[in-house]
Amino acid sequence: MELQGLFVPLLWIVFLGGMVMSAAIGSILAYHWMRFSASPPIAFATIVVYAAGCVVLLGVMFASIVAL
Amino acid sequence: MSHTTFNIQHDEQVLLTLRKHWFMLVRDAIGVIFVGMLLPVLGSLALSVMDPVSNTVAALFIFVFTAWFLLVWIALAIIWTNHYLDMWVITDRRIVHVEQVRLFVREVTTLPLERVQDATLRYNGFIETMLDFGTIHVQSAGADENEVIMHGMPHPNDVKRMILGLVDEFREHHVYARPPEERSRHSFQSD
Repeated sequence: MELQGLFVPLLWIVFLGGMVMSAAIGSILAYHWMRFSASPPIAFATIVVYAAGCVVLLGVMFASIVAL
Repeated sequence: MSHTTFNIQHDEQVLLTLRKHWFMLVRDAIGVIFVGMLLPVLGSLALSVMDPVSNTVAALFIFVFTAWFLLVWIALAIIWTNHYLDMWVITDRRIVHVEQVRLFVREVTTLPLERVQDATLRYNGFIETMLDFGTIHVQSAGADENEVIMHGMPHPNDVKRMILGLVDEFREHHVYARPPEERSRHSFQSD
């Protein structure tokens, strides 16, 4: 089965949208964690875990588009 | 202790910092996790019916599932933020209730110990009783009705006992230690 026309570009748009959204919301969350957390190490660890999760998921999305 | 939410005075001692019970986080997150798992489970069932599955279809399904998981991941991060940034701080002078209502909406309520009139405790149901968490309602004696309601408080009986003990101790040292004329003036101001 071959994907035709604008389908693959549409997937790239979804991927880029996911990347921008996770970065934008991540920035807002990181602001809250760093500004209001009582414990900077926990705030930092939360940012690392969030970013790692996003990178893994976006990486899988990227790989699956490339594999199409 | 971060001073970005409220100011601790230099001679004020923080006695206890509390966060909501972990079950409150699970309760808030369980719906998102359930809905998050639903689409992949249904999709996997659909894939198992299709035979054979081409690499293109498999890659497409993986893309859709992963995009869905990204949304779930972001939703969980927001739920965690609202949970983690809720906090109660009990000092030797006051009770501070910090509530992260949602992103960019934050409430900080302060109740001086001299204003505390009573504290009531409520276990609401089987789970709260078994896991030992509940709601503490600290009532103010002032006319401004500056009261603090703390949901999901772990070990609420101990916390309530501590608050009432601190109030008694505070009054003993700060009110009853004064001459009678000052004492009456103080109680008049408090009322």
